[in-house]
Amino acid sequence: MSEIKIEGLCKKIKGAVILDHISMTLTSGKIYGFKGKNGSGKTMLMRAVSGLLIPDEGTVVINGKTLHKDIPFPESIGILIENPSFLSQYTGYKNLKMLSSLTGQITDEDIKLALIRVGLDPSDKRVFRKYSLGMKEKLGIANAIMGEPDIIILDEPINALDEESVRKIKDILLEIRDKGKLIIIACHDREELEFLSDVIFEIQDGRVVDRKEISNEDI
Amino acid sequence: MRIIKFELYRAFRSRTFLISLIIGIVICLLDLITYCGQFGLDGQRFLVQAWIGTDYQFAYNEMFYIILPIIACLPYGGSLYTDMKTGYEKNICIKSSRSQYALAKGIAVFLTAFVSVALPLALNLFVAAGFFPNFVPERLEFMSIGLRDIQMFTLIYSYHPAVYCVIYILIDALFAGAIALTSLSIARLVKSHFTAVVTPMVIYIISSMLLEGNQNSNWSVLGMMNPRQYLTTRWYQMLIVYLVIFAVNSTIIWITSRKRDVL
Repeated sequence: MSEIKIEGLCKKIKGAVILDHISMTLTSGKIYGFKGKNGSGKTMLMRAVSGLLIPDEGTVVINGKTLHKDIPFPESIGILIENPSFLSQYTGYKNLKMLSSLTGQITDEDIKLALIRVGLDPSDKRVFRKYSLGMKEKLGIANAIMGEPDIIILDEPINALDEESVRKIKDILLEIRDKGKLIIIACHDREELEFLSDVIFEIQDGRVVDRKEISNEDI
Repeated sequence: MRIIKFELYRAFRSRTFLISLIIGIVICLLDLITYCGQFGLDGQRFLVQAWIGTDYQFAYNEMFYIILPIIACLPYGGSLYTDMKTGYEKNICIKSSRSQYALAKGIAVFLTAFVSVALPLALNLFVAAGFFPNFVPERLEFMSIGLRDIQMFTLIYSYHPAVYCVIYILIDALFAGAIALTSLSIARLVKSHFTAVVTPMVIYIISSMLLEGNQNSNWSVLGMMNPRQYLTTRWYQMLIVYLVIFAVNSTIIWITSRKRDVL
């Protein structure tokens, strides 16, 4: 079970307000959707939750531990924020294997399973630079979900994917959520976001302007 | 730590590490081939005269020591810049702390530079040892200016010339490691991978020109790395310069890595 408590989060970059007193509580077993225009602060909020952004004010508390105070990064997290970036000279499998070696908690079977789930072949000999845009996106998603971490953050995960792949990713996310994981996604497609999310936060100019619980009737 | 193993794997398997090794080895072998071609294998020449580090007959010695910062930085020096530019560091910074990441990068950059410089020099010495005897030459014969008592390792040079060569291989490799850290410390200031790799060479050439001094006192980095000791360096000067390069680079890397946003 995971709980993320964000309290009074503020961040300025080069004088511009990126996050403005954001507070919210996110609990496991739910998918949270972040909605907002380009530059509204969705991605920056995701970065802050991932520990990549150091806030000027406020805190991100994950399971009672404050980021950058008690822990330098979340203990169990998978992310895909902006473009998937991997080492171009290695295959998808090799890339994930190298990254998984950083924690030592993910087995080879977990990696293969994650690749198969998103529709990639673990034995594919093509190196990352030869991948199509869709394959790169899928590898990014596989990287985020491998080993099924407690928190999964996906920024625009279905942008470069075809319809069948989108369906597959949606099924995976719902399945992972039902296992009690906490998922945060940002998506431009309002319908997709509403279909996937249990709660949607609307973000504008670095502030949360609306919080909406999605029930089955809304979809 | 897992992150150190991860960075070492990336560093020593990189294509740039291989390219750097090839550049160094080609220069060192060309020097030896040229030396053999010019002076033959008549037994009149000694190992310490043929080794690239102490060979003053051909330009390969100067060439190697001038481009040494490039040989040191090329293998992995630009990797922090590339990780930041491509966003790859996001994958790492959610699984490792920033300070551990910086430490692992520093170790990988230092060791690849160490090997890239030590291996060609050692290979040249090893191959030369197959052709030239390790005799102790007349003291004033081995170099254009000869070795004077005030210069470093004079006795070792006079009685155990091969050991002298090995000592300088280690000194050069350690300097290469410290110099390569410069490309990490400037990674956040530069605009391209190329600049991250080449800037240390520019810094060390300019600083060496400014600090060259005279035959009795030298603060030039490039001058003190050359085993020919064409500029007299005292041991304390070498130690101070090394510690300054190492400390300045390490401090900048530590300060800029500890609390920063990964965007």
